[in-house]
Amino acid sequence: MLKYAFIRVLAAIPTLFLVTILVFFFIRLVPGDPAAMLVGDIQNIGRLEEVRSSLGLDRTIPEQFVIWIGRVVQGDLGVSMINKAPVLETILQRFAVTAQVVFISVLLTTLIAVPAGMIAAWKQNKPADNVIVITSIGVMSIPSFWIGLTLILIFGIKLGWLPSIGYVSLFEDFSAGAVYLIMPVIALVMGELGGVLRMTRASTIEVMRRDYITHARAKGLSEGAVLARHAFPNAFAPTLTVIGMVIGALLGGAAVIETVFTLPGLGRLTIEAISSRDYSMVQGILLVVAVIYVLINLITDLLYPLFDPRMNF
Amino acid sequence: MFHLRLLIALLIGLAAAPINADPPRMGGTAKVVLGSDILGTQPGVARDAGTDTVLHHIFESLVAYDDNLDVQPLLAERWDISDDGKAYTFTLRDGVTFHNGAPVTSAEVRWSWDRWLDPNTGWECTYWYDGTEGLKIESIDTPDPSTVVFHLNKSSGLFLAQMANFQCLTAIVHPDSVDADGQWVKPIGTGPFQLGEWNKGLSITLEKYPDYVPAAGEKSGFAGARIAYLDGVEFVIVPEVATAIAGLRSGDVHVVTDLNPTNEAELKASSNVEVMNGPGLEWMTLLLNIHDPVMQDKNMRLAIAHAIDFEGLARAVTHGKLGYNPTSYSSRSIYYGDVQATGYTRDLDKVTSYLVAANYDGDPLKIQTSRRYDVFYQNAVIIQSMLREAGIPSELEVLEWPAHLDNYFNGKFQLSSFGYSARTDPVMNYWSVVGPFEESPAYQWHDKEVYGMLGDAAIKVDQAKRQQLFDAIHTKMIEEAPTLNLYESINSAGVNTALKGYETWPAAKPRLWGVWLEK
Repeated sequence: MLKYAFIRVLAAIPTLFLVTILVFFFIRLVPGDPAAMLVGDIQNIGRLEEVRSSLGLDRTIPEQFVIWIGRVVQGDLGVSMINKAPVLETILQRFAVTAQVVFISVLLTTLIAVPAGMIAAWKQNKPADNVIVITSIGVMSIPSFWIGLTLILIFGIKLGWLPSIGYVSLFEDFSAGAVYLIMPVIALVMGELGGVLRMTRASTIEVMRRDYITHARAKGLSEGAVLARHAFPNAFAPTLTVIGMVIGALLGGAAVIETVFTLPGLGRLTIEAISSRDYSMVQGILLVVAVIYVLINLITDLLYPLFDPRMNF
Repeated sequence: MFHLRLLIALLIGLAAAPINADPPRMGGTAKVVLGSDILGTQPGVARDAGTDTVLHHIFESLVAYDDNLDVQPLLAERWDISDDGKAYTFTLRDGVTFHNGAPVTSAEVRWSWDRWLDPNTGWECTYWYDGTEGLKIESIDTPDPSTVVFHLNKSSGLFLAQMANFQCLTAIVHPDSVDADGQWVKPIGTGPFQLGEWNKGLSITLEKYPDYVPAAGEKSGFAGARIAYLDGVEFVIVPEVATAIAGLRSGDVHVVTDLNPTNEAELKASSNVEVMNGPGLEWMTLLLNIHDPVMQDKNMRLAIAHAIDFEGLARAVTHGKLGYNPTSYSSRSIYYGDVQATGYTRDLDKVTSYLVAANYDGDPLKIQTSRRYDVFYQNAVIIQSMLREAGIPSELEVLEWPAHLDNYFNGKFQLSSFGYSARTDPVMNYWSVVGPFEESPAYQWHDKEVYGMLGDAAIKVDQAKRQQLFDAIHTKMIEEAPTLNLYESINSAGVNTALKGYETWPAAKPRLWGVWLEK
């Protein structure tokens, strides 16, 4: 398994290199100039070129790329072009916020969606299945910003039960932090529930048709035992892939939810960096996000044999 | 007659008296929304409007603007100007201390100014004082601990105005704000609040500075007594307006600024929120790029000018609160008179004759705009409709703000619905649009005569002489139509009714001194 993991990490290097090239050049193709954003309309507008030069933007793009990639391989992602904050440190701070929300949300999503999906499969085409599927599709169809604002309206303004603005880290004050995370977590769970549930349902339906399930039933096992012992392990492997993809996507930036709930996470940082054409920050974020994707996919693959013994590294 | 005047004065006095007569209450923390995080804690270096707002609570200058946009002493007790107008002598207030307890003396004033004027600091407005625009600080003397003398290369009508500027805060800071290498480490100022915690991306907490010594006089603008009744202020970063409005309604925050009319209408239904507004110092404009082959013809520019109903446009966008302002400076400026109130009136016959004179072939014009500031977009839509009605077809090009700004700097537009940040003296306003093209395509108007008049106005201290110059420049601007000013901005804020004493003012920046929280 270690050898497999090592090969996968090595194989990721060309992917990451390609990502750095694409990110670096594409962000520069987008109209807008970080120097113009810095100069604004107060400074001496004749200073624009001076500011461009101080940011290294007067060099050719290949030159800029070589300088940047030279630093990246030494672990230095540089500093923000807008506020001079260290890029890596800023990303890690913001990632810590996103990670708290995302892992709790994905855990809850899994705990709700997997049993619900299995029940829907078990009761296929019966009223329980219809209710679960229609509800999941309905929830999945609502835009996350709308869910977020509706939650704020109900629980923040009308009922006054939850704070509509702010964030406290769970590691600083668990109970206060939990209060601030309730609404963002609900919004994320609602957004991701449908996909995981439908995958679980589809793979369970597939498994439930297999001979070994009939055999288990014929042995006189209860339906619960059939589902838990025989259907779940075999049906969960494809769902695990979906969960891995959800984690990767959300860690890369739950931008809408972070903006609506004022969470200082990675998604909001990405939006801010793009809006201000903070090239160094955008490049750093997207490189880190690519690394996250690679790692999450690797972890998902390494977990596969736990559920599907046919997979063996 | 005397009695009538007395009666009127009494009535005005009563009307101006605070509605809430309860005495200020000490304690508590007020929460104020910022749309984005601050860029740093060093004044004027990495800055934007939100950064300026926070830092004005921590730092103070020798002088500051009051509510009427007159310059008043702040850290200075007073100033004297030499007969030749080239030496400004400031006497410092007694007993003022920095947040680290050290007394404020002329040595720190000089140290601060040396830092701002050092090109290596990266202070944004060094060019105001280094001769780039004519004015140069030749030396700063400190004859005794409470006296600072600025020696200028020539007399200036702008020196105090620039010193009191909101954006390039000429803060007096303690030298311990930087490390041995001169790197900025922490903000040590003299303001009524000191930095508590900067939780990046989330909030900036300020704590009351208990040993603060307020200036004399009532709170007014950034001047007067800046008494902190609150124990602290938390500036909360809320990028989404809808969330900020929800937070105001739920009582999670106390102040949200920069509301648009739709937000205002929503908030007026909330019993715990008061909406305040008044004219601001930013100004909206339609830029006509006179490098463009079509726009370089004055007849074409005048056709556009006479196709727009400026009064109707201003009233529509501000929901009737403000009208047409043909200048770039505030209608409450002492330099805004009858001449300045003269702009363009809509006249479709004139439009036709100007279009004929310009040999306009009917090709649609292109109006660039963006939606970061929604009024830019609203202005563009209404102008497009008015132009169409006048027989001038046009297309809107809606860009992202960075692209819009970049095109402004590079002169890559035909027409642009744009706006400028606050300036406090007409010379500074005009300098935003008047300048040599070879220096930057962003300058809209390069007229040597006007440039000369602006240079004169920058030097002159006499108000009447400056007025003559501004009258002449405005008249010429209306004749030439290098750019079309639309209206001044409107400042608006939603304030939780539990926060007492809060007021908006022309500079729009929230001030959390002189305010207190009800029980």
